Amino acid sequence: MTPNSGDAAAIDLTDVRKTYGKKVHALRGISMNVRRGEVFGLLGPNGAGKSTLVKILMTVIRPTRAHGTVLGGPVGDKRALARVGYLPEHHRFPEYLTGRQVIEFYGAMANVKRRDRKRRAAELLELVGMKDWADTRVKGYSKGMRQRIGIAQAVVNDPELVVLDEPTDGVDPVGRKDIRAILVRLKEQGRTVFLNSHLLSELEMVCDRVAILVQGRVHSQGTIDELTRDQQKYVIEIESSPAAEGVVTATDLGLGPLARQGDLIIAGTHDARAIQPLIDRLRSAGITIRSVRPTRPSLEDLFMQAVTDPNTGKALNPGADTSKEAGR
Amino acid sequence: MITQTLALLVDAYRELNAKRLFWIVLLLSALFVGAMASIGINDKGITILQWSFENEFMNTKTLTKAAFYKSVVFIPIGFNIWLSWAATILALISTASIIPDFISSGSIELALSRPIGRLRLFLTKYATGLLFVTLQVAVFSLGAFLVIGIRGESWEPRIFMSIPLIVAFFSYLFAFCALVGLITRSTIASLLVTILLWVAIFLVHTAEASVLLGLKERQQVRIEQLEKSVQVDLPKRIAEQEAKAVKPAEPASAPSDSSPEAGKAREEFERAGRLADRAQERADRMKQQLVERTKKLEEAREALPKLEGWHKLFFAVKTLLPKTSETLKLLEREVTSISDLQGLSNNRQQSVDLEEGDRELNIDDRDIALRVENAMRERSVWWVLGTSLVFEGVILGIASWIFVRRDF
Repeated sequence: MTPNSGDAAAIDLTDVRKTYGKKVHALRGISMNVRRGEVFGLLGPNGAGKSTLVKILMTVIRPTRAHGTVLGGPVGDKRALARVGYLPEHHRFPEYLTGRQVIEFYGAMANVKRRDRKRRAAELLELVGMKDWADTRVKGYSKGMRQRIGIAQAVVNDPELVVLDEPTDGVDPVGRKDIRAILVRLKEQGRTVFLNSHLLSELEMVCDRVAILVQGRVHSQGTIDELTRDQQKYVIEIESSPAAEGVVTATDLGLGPLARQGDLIIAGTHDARAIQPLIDRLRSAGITIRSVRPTRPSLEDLFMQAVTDPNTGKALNPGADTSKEAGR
Repeated sequence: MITQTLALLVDAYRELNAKRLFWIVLLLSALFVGAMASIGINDKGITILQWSFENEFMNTKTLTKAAFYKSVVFIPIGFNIWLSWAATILALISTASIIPDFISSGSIELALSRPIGRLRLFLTKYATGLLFVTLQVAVFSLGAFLVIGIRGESWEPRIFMSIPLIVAFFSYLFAFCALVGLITRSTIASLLVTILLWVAIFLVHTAEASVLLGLKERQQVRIEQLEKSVQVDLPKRIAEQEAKAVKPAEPASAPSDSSPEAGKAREEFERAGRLADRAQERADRMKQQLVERTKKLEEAREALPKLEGWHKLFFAVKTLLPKTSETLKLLEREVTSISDLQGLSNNRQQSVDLEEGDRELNIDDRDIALRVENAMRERSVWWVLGTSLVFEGVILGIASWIFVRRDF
């Protein structure tokens, strides 16, 4: 990979909008920052605008309005795409090509020189575990094999930024694990990975930062730790004891109300020092503590919060907003 | 930039290579060339391999070997029927899917996300779509060149003009096919609508060149013949007959005179009188014919502007459309002389019924056919190719504009 001079963000977007016709507001002012060298996850329900945003970045769709940069160039600048790799969702490679030819063809389309293409194709086939199938036509590949070749073609041009749209779609658990390993390798190589996926558990495993898109807007973005800080808790597991009820209802521990679920006592704080008085009180009451562990909401919990209307408790309409005010 | 263009070209070749139809058409072309090579001509007639068939119209006394292969075998059958119709339809079937497949979801994203401008990407993809026909015509032309050279004993490099001409002809249709494919995203729709356009172009061409131009030329020949008849031939013949219609003076001898001399003089007088009467009758008939032909001439003169008007209208429509037939005819114009086409002209005009009056006027269908042929040949290469390429340019311009602006 050729390191880029300067330390600007890989993707820096301000007020990106896309309106189809006059009514359908697919994106309603996206502002987003993806740092160099990180794995960034984009999540949101169907119709939230994730694919539209990715396609705008890849110049497949023209934005109604877009301020910002991709690898230092303005959004839509074709020259910057020479340093970007892309795997679209539901990609279709020409079935008459072999895996090796797919990688070399898209390398050539990214202006990679012939000798480099050959070398890179051999390396990448090894990386994605497709060396033995390299000269078989794509027509005979399984979904997982196509995804592996897709990732390989996305990095054939030695990109600084790799945009992957649902890279584990249709891939079995073993394949998903392999793909996660590849993503880690890409990060280790210093590349920025922009990941769009429905599989929240996987994003949680590999992403440094995430953004949640709902109805064409960024609901929240940051590290998972930042996003869950206010909702982190400590869970203390105890052996059943009649004395426990007295501890839980105590109001002089400085922890606010405690919750009890069977043998679990839940304290709403992320501060380890704050729960020490509670532990002391439990011990002094002769209660056996089995474990003390900090917990935080999962990405799925965050996601569900984002797509739930706080007023009604019902799921928000996931699709693009078609109301007149929506675009404002 | 060259890397990307070459990659698209190689990809197009791989796509063709994977299509059975491409190899089937190539095989049929090879078989056709082989079959044509097995046909020969000698001083008695036609030969096929070792068999000989006597033919008084087609032998080396009436036709040179080179003219036989060029004007009878390769151009009318090989190029004008096989390559221009059958192979073109197969080529359209084979290539109609190129643009719909290219812009299909999952495929177009991979292409558009590369550092290549949309306009260049589209035009390069369009150009690679012409590879099918280019390779087919190149192989066929090479075969034709070798057969005409070896069997016809005439090395004719101008046969390779067929490559740009047939590719140009196909490109008019493929540009339209690409536009329809881009709009509808459907291979079937683009194929059917393109074939409809082709049929429409053919009908306009037939109406203009084969019907209206033929009728116009025929009418002009009729007017010329009628003018000659009314102004020169008939007055002259009437004057001749009227001069013959003058009766001789009665013999001086009395009717009662029964001498042999007197009898002979009276017979002579009566015979001369009968001749004069017949001449007068002929003169009267000719005068009647003169009146009729003068009327026909006036009618023909009145009808000509109407024919010319219709012809101009169809010619104007045709000018806006691609000239598929004329583009193919350019090869015939280039490789064969007008005298080689005499026989073809005869065949073409035999289907036109002669009017009764035209038989009297001695209007020769071959003259009309040659006049039509000459009129067609007078149309410049720039008119034929230039206006067709303008049509293609406009269609490609619209398609490019759509491709550049569309969200995929």
